[in-house]
Amino acid sequence: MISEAIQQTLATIIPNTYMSMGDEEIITPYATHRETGVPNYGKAGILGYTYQVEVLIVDDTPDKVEQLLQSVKNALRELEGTTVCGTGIELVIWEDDEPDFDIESQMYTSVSTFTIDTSNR
Amino acid sequence: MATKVKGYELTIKIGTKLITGLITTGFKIKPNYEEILHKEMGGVPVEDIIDADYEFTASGQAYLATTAEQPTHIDFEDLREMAPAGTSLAFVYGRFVAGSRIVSGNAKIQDYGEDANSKDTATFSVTFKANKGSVTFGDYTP
Repeated sequence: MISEAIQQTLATIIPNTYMSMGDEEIITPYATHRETGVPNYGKAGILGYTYQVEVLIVDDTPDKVEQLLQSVKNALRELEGTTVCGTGIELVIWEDDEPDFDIESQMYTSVSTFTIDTSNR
Repeated sequence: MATKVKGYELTIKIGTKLITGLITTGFKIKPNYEEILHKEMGGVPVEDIIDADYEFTASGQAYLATTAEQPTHIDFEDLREMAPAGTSLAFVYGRFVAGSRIVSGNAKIQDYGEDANSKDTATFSVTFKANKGSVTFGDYTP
């Protein structure tokens, strides 16, 4: 599954990586991710899947967030052409980043979006 | 209840082979008429059928046929090489289900193109025009 592949990859950079956020107190830096996908149909059936992957990175300085983001981008790009957690990853495209500052938690954040094509779910 | 034909069911074979990565097919028949206007028709012409032109299109993602697929599939690289050769290719169009009505004949590639940006999977498209008089309609037998 793509979620497991992303989880495994991100956790090597940001150990506090979660598929969904709970209400426990989490130590920064941390990351969350979510994936939504659609199948690509061909005449012969499903040719593959295209996923929109959103990665949220949270840390206490913008520099740290940026550094982690670059590592995440590189790590995800390196997945191209590999099979991770049973998912064949064909193409990884970084789409955009949205940096922000959360006043309530006084934390810097970045939401990045990637498009990932896979050969299977 | 009528039977719906799903889009993926209508496809083409070149010779006996499917096209790897095929997503969309199109088929067009253009009957050609001759206008007849004899004196005794009182100025009201009729149109007599002469023949018809058949054209079909295929487009999809640029997937290479795997070694396992090669006996049953051609891919965009094969089409790319067929296009300038101008050879006549046998084709079958329709639903490849026993008893379904199909169109078959010989055709030449009239147009071939590829598109490749820096982001998505490359795509190809090809247009075939059937050779005059070669097209027949029949039932598909596997």
